Amino acid sequence: MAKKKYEKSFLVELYRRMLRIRKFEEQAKECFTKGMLAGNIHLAIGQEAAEVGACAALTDRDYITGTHRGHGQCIAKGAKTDKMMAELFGKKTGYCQGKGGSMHIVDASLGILGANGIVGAGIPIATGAAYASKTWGDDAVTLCFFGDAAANQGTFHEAINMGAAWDLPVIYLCENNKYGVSTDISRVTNNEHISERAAAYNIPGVTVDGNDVLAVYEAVKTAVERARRGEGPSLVECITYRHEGHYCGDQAGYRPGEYMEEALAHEALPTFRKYLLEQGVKEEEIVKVEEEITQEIAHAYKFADESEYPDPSEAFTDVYSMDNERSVLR
Amino acid sequence: MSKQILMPQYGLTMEEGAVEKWLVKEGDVIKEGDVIAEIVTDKLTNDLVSEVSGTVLKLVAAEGEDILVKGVLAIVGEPGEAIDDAPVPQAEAAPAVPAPAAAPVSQAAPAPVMAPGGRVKISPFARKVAEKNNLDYSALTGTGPSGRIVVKDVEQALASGGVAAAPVAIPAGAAGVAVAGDEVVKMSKMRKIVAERMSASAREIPAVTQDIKVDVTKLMTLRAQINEGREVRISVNDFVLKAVAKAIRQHMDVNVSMDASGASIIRHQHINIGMAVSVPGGLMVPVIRDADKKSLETLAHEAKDLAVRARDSKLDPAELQGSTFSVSNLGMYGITSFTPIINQPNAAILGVCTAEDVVALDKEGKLYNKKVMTLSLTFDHRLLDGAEAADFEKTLKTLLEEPLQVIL
Amino acid sequence: MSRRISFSAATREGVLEEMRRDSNVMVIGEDIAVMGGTFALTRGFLEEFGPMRVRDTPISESGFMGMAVGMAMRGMRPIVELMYNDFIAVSLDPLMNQAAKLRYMTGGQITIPMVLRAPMGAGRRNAGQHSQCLEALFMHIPGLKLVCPSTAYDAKGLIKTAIRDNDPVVVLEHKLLYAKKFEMPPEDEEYTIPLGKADIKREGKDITILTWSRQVLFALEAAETLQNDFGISCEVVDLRSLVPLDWETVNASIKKTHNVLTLEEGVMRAGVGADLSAQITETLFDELDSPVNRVAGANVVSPFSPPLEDAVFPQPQDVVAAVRRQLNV
Repeated sequence: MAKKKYEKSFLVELYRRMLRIRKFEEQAKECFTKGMLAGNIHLAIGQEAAEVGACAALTDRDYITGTHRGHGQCIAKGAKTDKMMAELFGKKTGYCQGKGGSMHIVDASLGILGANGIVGAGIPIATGAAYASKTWGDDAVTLCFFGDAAANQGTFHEAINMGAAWDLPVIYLCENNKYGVSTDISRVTNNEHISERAAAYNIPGVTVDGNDVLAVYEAVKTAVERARRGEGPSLVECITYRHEGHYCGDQAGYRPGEYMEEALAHEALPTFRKYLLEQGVKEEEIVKVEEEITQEIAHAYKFADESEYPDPSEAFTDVYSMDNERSVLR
Repeated sequence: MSKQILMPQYGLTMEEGAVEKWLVKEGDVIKEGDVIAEIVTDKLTNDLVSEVSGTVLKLVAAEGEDILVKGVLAIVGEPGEAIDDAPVPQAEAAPAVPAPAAAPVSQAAPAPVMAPGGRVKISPFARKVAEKNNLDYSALTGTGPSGRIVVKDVEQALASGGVAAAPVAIPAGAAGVAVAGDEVVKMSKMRKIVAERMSASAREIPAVTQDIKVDVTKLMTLRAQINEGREVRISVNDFVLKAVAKAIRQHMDVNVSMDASGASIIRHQHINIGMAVSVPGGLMVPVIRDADKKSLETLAHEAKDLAVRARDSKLDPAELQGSTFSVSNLGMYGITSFTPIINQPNAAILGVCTAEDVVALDKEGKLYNKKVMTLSLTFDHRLLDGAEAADFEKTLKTLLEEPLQVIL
Repeated sequence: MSRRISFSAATREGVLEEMRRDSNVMVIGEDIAVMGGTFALTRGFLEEFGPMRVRDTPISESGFMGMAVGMAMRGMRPIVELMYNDFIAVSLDPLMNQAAKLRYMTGGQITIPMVLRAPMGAGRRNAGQHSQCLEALFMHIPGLKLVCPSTAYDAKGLIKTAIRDNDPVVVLEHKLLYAKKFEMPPEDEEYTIPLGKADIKREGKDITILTWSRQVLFALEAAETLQNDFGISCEVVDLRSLVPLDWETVNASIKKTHNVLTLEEGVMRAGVGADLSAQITETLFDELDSPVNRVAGANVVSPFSPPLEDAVFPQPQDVVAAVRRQLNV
């Protein structure tokens, strides 16, 4: 853990956010297993520290783009768990009124430009958002979450090359959980670390322990400061673990048993809880946070479950900014 | 190019049939109109009449072999010509059509009034314009691609006063003459068929009409009670149809036809009631089969369905065939008496008139109001005599005056 | 004072006016800044607006298309230029899965006010990877709008509207229209043309020809021949925008002529004409005096050699022949 001293309230807030992600995902998993959710969900259990640490280095005016495994990224940036859960349920009270689902949570007011169902698609989008900041000089940065597998998409290379060429205020944050669906990254990639590729674009690249929330925070903070100074992008790779399979219900039989042993040994939440106590945070305070999160997620579930589905007529709106018969029906 | 002769569809329900006997062999020269085979279906035997002329190149269907409707039966063309026996879409084929029943059997009475027409190639828009102007387009020559009738052909026909009418025999001196300001409108196909049938019936049948008055006070009351809260209402006509069916069962001598020879009478076993329905531009007589075996409710439902589909031109030709007695109702127009014309080959037709309010004296000499309806029965005096017809009418009157008897 | 300028000059004027009007409008693509574009469409823009608003990119079509989506999400109005519409093959995801769908998938939270401009079409002997007309491909993606102007006047009016539109709009410009000159209103007379409004380029009463882009010119040429040599009066309806489609004008024209021919340069199979034909037959069957006919490119790869290329996409004489067959004249 970090040498630097942090405010206790800051540390508690990090714990709160990580726990919020964990509890949200556990609730989502339970609902999915019970058949209450449509489609598929991809759970972020195990990746909480990378996501919370990264977003802790951002301000409210900064932006993120996310991935198909995006629940944690959105919660880390401040998304409301009730509206998120309702979206997973396909209810009209969800973030996208039931039109996007698990992989497409967006909250424009919080700078969440959207999770994405296409692997690697968010990287140029984030780069474009950063281009807008540079054009306007608005001092905002955009942080782009992507996985190790997305680093092998053409968009990764195209976008980082342009972001670097034009010194755009963007942070490329790779959550390396070592697996693209079933494929071990080492079987399809010749680099030991994704961050090595930063050299190819002449930008800084670092690899940090993605389960150490403060290590991630510090690395991203450095990258954010560089971006705000107008010096361009950085690539931050967080080594982390995906506790679940690719999607909820995937037994992940393709992974060796050691993977999960390693993951559990490095789990962020218990480690960080212990660290909080060492830093003088009182047990009661931690328990209070835990109770609050339990209540919040219970509320999110109830809200989602009790909300109504959208009216079928809603299927025909929002295709265009001015929906009209000609555009939709002809 | 060779032409295929396909298995025709005799009625809506027919799915397959078989050539019972080929009347031609390969190499024979046939011409349009020749009877070339006998087709047997699960119900009846029909003559297969060729619609094409040429040499029989191949008999595809073996005798007794079941062939699906529109399946290829034979190929006709020029001698030595290469043949193509792949099935072709219906519209492109030269289908054989059943011969008009030469010797009517009970199920195969000729279609009353509206026979199914052959397919005419006409564009949708040209047809729309033709129908709007009551123009019979079937005889027009198409100038569009593949001889399709296009709107220009219809417009030209309209401008020149329509095409020559099909021959309806008009006795000398009986023809009308249009003077300035009169409109001359081409007869529709349906109108022509109605005209022909009516002329034939009036010409051939020594018809007698006998009226009888029926007290329908109770019937009206009963009907009102039955209809209370019903969605599909039972009409007076439905009661009459049901009563007619019952009365015929007691007087089967009304349920007869004359055969083609004029020497025999066919006594029909099924009571199939034709129901005259006024449709735009003419008249159709769909048939309620085995009307005596159907409940009032079933009958009412069927009558309504047939009437609606008749007006929408959605009837299957089979539904216009096989009547043994007909009913024509003008009661809703306030008609008090008329002489309906017999729907051949039926022996009789019942005209149903309006129910009128009549003041009567009861047994104690008091005035009371009753509803009286006239029934006008026209019958074929060759097949029936006045007394038989009167007996039938009396039974009908009794049934309708004690309407519970109609239902029970 | 009216004047005559080329299609490309008119498009340039439209883009220029909008860039001056709204500082959020920017152009991005290959060789558009320093060089000023393959068709000189953006010449001088870099000097006036600077590199952030006139951006030369590396050969990274997927990357800059995706960046444009990100810019549009933030509120800029990027105009992406693809050097050829064929290059959509390497850059479709940002357009199809992102730009077209994000408004819908976010329940209306996000708008993507971007424009994709791309030259299309055969006739320049560019062979199979640089000659396609891909309207049908774009039309099949709900959320995109599609504009295909045929004249300088329309090109300018439509590009201005496309830039101001809050949805992703694809503008396909036929390469062989760029150099053609057309009558234009004076430079200082501003106008826009709404999307979804067809233009009857020639009135007629016997047959309606539904077409757009360069084929409008072919239809007009054919209509002249058909009138002079065969007395057939053609109504040439320039759809201008394929999504949204001006059904009212199509409907009214067919109710007048009762015969319809669709005309496009793209390949016939699953083409725009197929869809128009289906819609017309479904809704206007009783108005038709002949089947809806299609004249379109052959279902082949665009060939290189001039006689081969000319043989596979519709020429005016093909339109004449098709109309004569349809009306049996």
